[in-house]
Amino acid sequence: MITENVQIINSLGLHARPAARLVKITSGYDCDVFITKDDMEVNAKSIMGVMMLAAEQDSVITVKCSGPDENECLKDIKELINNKFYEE
Amino acid sequence: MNTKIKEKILKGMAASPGIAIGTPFHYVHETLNISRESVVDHEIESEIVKYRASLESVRQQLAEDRKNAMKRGGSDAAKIFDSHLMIVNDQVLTDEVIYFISAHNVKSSYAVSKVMKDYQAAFEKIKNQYFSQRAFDIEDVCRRIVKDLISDEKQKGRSGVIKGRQIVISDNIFPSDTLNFNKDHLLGIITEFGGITSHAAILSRALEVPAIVGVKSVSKWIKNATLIILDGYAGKVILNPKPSTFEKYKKRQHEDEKQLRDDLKYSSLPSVTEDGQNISIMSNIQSSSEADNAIRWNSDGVGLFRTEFLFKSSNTILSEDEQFKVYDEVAEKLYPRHVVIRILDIGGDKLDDKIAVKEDNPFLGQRGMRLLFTHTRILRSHLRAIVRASSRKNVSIIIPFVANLTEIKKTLNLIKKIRKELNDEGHIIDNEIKTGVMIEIPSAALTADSIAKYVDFFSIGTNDLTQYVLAADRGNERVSNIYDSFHPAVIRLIDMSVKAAKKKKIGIGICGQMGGYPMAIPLLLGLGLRELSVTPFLVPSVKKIIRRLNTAECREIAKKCLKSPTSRSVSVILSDYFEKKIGNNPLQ
Repeated sequence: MITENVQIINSLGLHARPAARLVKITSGYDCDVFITKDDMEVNAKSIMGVMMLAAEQDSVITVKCSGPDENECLKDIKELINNKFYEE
Repeated sequence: MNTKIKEKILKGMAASPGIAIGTPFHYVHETLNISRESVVDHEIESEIVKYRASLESVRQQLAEDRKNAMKRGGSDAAKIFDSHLMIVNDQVLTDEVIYFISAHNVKSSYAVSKVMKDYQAAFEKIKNQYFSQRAFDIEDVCRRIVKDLISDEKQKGRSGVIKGRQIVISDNIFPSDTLNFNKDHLLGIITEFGGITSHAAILSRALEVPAIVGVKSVSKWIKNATLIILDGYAGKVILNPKPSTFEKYKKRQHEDEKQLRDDLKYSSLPSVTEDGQNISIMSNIQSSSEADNAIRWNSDGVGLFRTEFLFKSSNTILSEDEQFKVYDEVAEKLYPRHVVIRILDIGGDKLDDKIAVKEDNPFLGQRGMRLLFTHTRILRSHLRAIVRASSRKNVSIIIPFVANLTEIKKTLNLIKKIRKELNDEGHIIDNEIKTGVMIEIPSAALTADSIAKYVDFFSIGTNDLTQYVLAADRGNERVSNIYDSFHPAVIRLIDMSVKAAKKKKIGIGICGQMGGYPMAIPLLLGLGLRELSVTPFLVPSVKKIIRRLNTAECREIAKKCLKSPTSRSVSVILSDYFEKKIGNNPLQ
């Protein structure tokens, strides 16, 4: 299992569209992916879960991947977040 | 208990224009407290199959509704159903429901409502409005799934069916409701909750059904009402109207209907006066879906695209790309017609708590460019987005709320810099993009001759111009008798601006409410205006009036008005002329 803190930098935060992109990536991997913010942990393969975090710009989330392809998955997630979900 | 029937007026927010008169239909959403029903082990599998089948049927319903919404209300309406589809497609949510069925030996309808209720409650607790509003989406989707499941069990039919033509009153209307109501039976919508940016409000506007939202305790009051009037222009609900009120609104409604029939007839005719002068009638819009309305009513273009609404409805400052997408979409829809995009004019009444600060006198404070120049990052990304949307050469920029030349020059310089920047980055833009200013502060009208040397066009904002020259807040009811766009001072300022523009051979139009006011049209043409920008649905009625006017006569009328001492005398001149020329007296 690997864990990393990532800061949300896009202006909308995890709104519907960015959340949908994130879920699309996590769903493509076999590993389990969970995200934690302010003591709330959600399954990152669920758009409802991801949006429930209400993660706004500048908030920090903890991403936890566990499974055979955990490294690649975390790398992809970080890339998406750091590139502002390719929307800005 | 006092059962005497008395007229009662309730106020809410006008969400969609129009008048509806009818009996109330209290639409109560089926409560989703589906009781817990157990199933035995060997039935679990069939419950799961039923659940999966209902997801599939809801997916089809949503796709169908999306298509209808697109047809009837454009992309803004369709997007709502995309977000609902995302909920249905949430694999984790689906797994949770399936797990619930098998772990607790319960019917699928109970499992769905239990699991989704929990999600809904979690979202309702979120402080950020964007996220907490998602609770309504979840509720709506959940209702669809459960309805589909119980329709199997012959439990359907608990939600009422509108009988005949009625006005629907409810705590909240969900997107799925609006589309499911038979449009022939639906006279109007009144909700207790929700704002003018809610899904339901957006849809009712797109479907052109009159609506009022946020009417406190309406479901309580409605119990003693037999007849109601919905005034979607003023945001008023009148319960048990007196005969005189009823007659007044009946007449108004009749005029509206007649208008609509005429409008459809007129919308395809050219807008030319009796003496052959071409007048261009543009639309004022504030969203991409309103651009569709502008086209449907045959406007000659968009004379004013207000950008504030985009920021207001998204509750955050939009990024450059997000803004660009909207501006570009509108420019593409309107092409080859022209679109004038107004630079964000926030402050005053359109305050945005994200960047505006509380001021004692916001209308005379830091609004428009004054505010934006203290937030250069926002201003730059905003201007970049607008200029980037100019690739088809059908976009112009208009600078709002300017009091002096310094502000204009500063803005023009910044636009020039941004053009260079975008060129360097390889963007295809219109390097001759036209820039105009709003004439809405009296000083701009009084010095219009000096300003005209620097810009490509003027647009007169009569609402603000009136409030500033008469020192009367347009939203303050106590001074509403002072606020009057027919005051000779307003007319003289318009006259000065038109003369300055003609002398310097730059364009000039009018985009305030005055342009859509029937009686004012002869005056405006008489003052020399040839471009009016109005709310999209007013385009045909304005056109109808223009086709019966003669500009030489209008000039005489304008001369008389310019010499008039009071608003009252101007009104008399205009209504007399209107009655003579067009027929009915618009003052009534």
